[in-house]
Amino acid sequence: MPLLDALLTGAIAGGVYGLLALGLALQYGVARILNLAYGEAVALAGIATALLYQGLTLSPLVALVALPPLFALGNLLLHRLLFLPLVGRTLALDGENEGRLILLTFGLSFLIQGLLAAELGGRLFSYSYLGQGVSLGTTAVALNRLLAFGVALALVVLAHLVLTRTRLGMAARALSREPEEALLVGIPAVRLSAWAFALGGGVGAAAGVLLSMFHTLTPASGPELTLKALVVVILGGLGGAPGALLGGVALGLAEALVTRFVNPGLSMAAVYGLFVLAVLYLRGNREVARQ
Amino acid sequence: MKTRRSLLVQGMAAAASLLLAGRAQARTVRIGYSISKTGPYATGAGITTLPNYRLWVEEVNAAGGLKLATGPTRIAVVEYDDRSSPEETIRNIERLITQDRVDFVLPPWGTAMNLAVAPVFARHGYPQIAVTNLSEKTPELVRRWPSYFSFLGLPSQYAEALALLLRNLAAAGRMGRRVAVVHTDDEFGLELSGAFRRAAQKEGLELVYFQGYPAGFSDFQSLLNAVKGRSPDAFVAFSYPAETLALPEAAAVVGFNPAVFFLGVGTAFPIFRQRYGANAEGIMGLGGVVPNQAWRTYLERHRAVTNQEPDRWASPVTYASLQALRAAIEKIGKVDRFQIVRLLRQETFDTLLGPLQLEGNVFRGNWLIGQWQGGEFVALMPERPGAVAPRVPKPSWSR
Amino acid sequence: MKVYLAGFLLLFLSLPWWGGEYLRSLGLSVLLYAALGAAWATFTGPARHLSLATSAFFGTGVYTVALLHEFAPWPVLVVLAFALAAFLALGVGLATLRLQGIYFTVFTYGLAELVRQLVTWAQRNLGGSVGSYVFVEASPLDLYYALALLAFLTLGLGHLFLQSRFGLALLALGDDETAARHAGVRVFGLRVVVFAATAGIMGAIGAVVAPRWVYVDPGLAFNPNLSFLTAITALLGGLRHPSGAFLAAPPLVLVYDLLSGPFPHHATALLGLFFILLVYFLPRGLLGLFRERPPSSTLPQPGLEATPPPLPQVGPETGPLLEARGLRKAFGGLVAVAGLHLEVRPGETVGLIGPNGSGKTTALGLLAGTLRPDGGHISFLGQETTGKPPEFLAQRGLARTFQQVRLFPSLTVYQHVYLPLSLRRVKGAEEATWGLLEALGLREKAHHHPQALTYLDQKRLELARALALSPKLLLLDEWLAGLNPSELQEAIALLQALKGRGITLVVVEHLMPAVRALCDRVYVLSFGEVIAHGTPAEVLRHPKVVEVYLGVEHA
Repeated sequence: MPLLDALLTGAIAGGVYGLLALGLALQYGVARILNLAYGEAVALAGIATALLYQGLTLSPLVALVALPPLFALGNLLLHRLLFLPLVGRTLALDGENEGRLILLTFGLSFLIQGLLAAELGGRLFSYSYLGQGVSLGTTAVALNRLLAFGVALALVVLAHLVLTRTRLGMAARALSREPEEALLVGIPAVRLSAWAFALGGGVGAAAGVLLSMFHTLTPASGPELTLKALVVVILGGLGGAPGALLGGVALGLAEALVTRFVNPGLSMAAVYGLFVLAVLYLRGNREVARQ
Repeated sequence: MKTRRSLLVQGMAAAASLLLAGRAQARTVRIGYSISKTGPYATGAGITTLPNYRLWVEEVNAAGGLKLATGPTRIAVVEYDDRSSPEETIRNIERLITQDRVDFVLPPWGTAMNLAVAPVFARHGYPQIAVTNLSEKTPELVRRWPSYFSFLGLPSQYAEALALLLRNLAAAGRMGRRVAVVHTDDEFGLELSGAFRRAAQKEGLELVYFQGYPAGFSDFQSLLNAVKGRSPDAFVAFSYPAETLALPEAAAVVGFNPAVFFLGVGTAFPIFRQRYGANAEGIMGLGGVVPNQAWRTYLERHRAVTNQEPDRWASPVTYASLQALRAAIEKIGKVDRFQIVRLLRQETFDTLLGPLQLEGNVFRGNWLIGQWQGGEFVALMPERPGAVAPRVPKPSWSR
Repeated sequence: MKVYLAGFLLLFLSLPWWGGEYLRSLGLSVLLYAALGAAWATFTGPARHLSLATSAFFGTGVYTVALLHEFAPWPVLVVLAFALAAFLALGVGLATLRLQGIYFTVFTYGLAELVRQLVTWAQRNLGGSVGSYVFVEASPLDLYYALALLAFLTLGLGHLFLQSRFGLALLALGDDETAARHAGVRVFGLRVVVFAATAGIMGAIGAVVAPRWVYVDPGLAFNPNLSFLTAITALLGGLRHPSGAFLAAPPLVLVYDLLSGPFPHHATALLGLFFILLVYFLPRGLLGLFRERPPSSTLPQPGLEATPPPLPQVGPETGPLLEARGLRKAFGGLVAVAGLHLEVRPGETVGLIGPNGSGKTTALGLLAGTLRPDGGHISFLGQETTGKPPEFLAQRGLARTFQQVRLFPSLTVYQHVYLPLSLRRVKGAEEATWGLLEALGLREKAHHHPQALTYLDQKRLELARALALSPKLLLLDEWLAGLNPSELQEAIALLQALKGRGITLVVVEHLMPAVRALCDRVYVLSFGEVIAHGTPAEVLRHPKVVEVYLGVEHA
């Protein structure tokens, strides 16, 4: 069943994209920081996992538990020490601050990339872990991809529950949708955005750990990962946690179907074609919203 | 306001003078290079090129320096990072030649970068002993820039050797004639796959699948499922390291194990063996080595000096190119770049790869196709002393 | 600043004569980023749309030369590159410039990647290769001077544009889109055209630089880093003027070369650190170090006679000036205006009154075109105008002010008034501007920015801007609110003077004495409906009105 095959592999590959996007969606949607150094954090987590596995034979599953909290803490500190002093307590609501933040995170991505390259040189980070196939009916997928899909699904469900069922989550959503009003009605925006930013960093680290199991990483992988996460975030229409997962799965499916049935050479063009459609759709929505 | 402005002017003047000052000429041979330490090219440069530059300088200096007519002269190095940008490379090379006034410039990594700086090398008559500039156009370019060299050969050499190998295997009844080809959609992939298509048709092979994929592609499982559907006897991927490292795992998952499994750049990297271990056995790729004494010495020295293993394709070639440069410099006995270029074009040099002679500035004597056998990436093609017999069909994926 | 630019010009034009190859190369890099940054700042500075598509346009230019250099001479290709990049930007602009800031930024970030994929695919399938060799017979010196020419041209054009009425309009749009539209600025066309023009310049720059690289492939041509470096150059310089990029480019290029000598391994990391520090310590850019001087051309000339502002010609109209039938507007579930019928006849002053939340401001917004009605019809000057955008109405003589004053922080007082006049191509716009400023007592403050004005002066300025449209109908939203008693007298006198000149007014007002003094007729709104209408005296005696007002005031 080639079609079922492609659908399944595509959807499962999409799970990782969803996880990758979820972190950025939190940072960008709630904390309103377009973090261009996001991919560097993901790459860093993946490279750290590879180093721990190859150097200390520490299981990537341990890294999956240990690294995200560390990265969340790191991102919390970044938010406190770097972003907050710049944007002040009103957050990045005007274009000028947005621009400054984008440049700041761009500088940060250069810094991380440069340090990684200086420390590690031009090495490739790739190892084998849980690479064996698991039979899913008529088709098989690699266990590590399945694991990534499972973690993505779990985290997305968790994030969705937190965002819709808890007071803090509601406040976060309000901040994401109507930032100015949210500030007016006394939502603790600064604290909330700091937490969202940290959480996003943690999710990104988890994505990095899982990604490193089947994707070759280098110190220069960051920008590519940021771009992919951004595309998924836009595909998901900034629709919170389920949007990120749906966007990821849509991307995975597009890649798989075009690769299998059209032409692998067009797979990326299909991804960006989807991206353009998403933006145009967004434009339509915006037009309605403006009136 | 005034003071601020004049401060600015002063600062800029100071900066300019710093740049202009150059450095006092000591009694050394100054060698400079601009290489990608960051950005997308940093991986290739960091695995293949940079370690060999370091190793060579270390070896030459450990031996007392280059033996010039005036006596042994140590090498001093000036290096820059070009951030994988051709604009930066051009500026860096110009800076090395006209500001730092180095005696020789070692080339950057990659075809595009080498082409970007070729006019600068040529204008100043510096030999450009490039390795990682694999292109079918090289002979044409050499007519334009006589000091432009290429040590890795031509893409068609590799493609034809592979087609010949597959034909021989098929003729010996060790596999069928059905071949599936995928390639990365850039000039490297297109030149290799194009040459392979022509060669395969000449050799009577049947191409059952032939597709390119773009940079950043990652859905190998779908790709291999499509390939598997055509039941090929040989799978050929003209790929880059990221894909090379992902393809065997995806093939194992979908249960695709053709008699010949050939991958592109990265197959010869130490990390490939590290990642796949026993599963690397039987996988073919570009390059290959003859594990003789010369190789073992080189391997050890490389490991000791750079703390990493060389790759089994362009690393030894890079080292050999530097050996040739050293021999040419020492034979002339002074920094006479014109004479050195002339010598490089004509002379035969004794190197790690054996006697090395360039034809029209291109070295065509490389090992072209290799295969992982017993933990070493041994040379299969061209068929000449040193080459081993291919292990076909490749063993099935373990686990 | 002028001294600096003159020095820059001299230095960079003469550099090839005295500098070596490396210095020329350095100069080329500086010129490259200065030109790209200036083009970028010309659009992003006033429009506030942060574009990360520079590499898409630059790459288009590079590729134009790479693919066509065998068929056409290089200078022709530079022009073609301009056209192609501008064309691409036109398409992108039409699709995305309506997006709010950050969405636009994200899209442009993806654009370079999208274009790269398409170019790769197209070149491979149409030409059978992906990279291209570029052998153009142009010496390094030709390249250098071509780029220098382009850089200075960009600066000059950018400067002229910012001085022009279109530049002012774009600035106004960037400051406050709604207010700008009510001043008669057409939103979309202007933005798209400027975006396309600056993109075209980026394409031309790419075409000039391409021969230097010898070999071009999509990954090099569409490298996203270029977009960021361009943005950094412009932001470091300051977005006020394209010359900022000329201030910032030399230190940026020099810093990297200075770092890469002593720290070959850490140069990139240090550069990143440098960017971070820049954002912190120079948030307004290098231009912030220079004092802003008003352009001398708009200084008032002594002895210039203040000519009165052009008056509206209210001809013998047959029907009402403005008519609304059954207007409806709801926000979510809240109905703000429910079936409003209203008529304004030429020359009269109509009041809209009612308690807080009765829908007055919404009604005014509907009449002015700020809001689009959910139902009902509006006609202005006997023509159906339901759903027409504010700039359409503004150009035809319908002006408004806002409850909370909305001015343009980037524009001077003079420019606020000059903008609507110049956009309508009124003859003698400058004299008319001075006339209006004189009439409203703002002449001395002509070169201040609105932040420096008192509250009353801000209100006056908003009125002046509205009057600069030579309105046939002027809608004032609580224009008198927040004034102290003496200011109030002055303000009412001003409005009466306007009335005396035959301008038709619709006022939303809380102050009953003012309503009595000014209005010929009054509509009273409550919960979005007209509960009474007639002369002020009649209406204020109306039992329903008394109930509503007393009910509110005594609640």
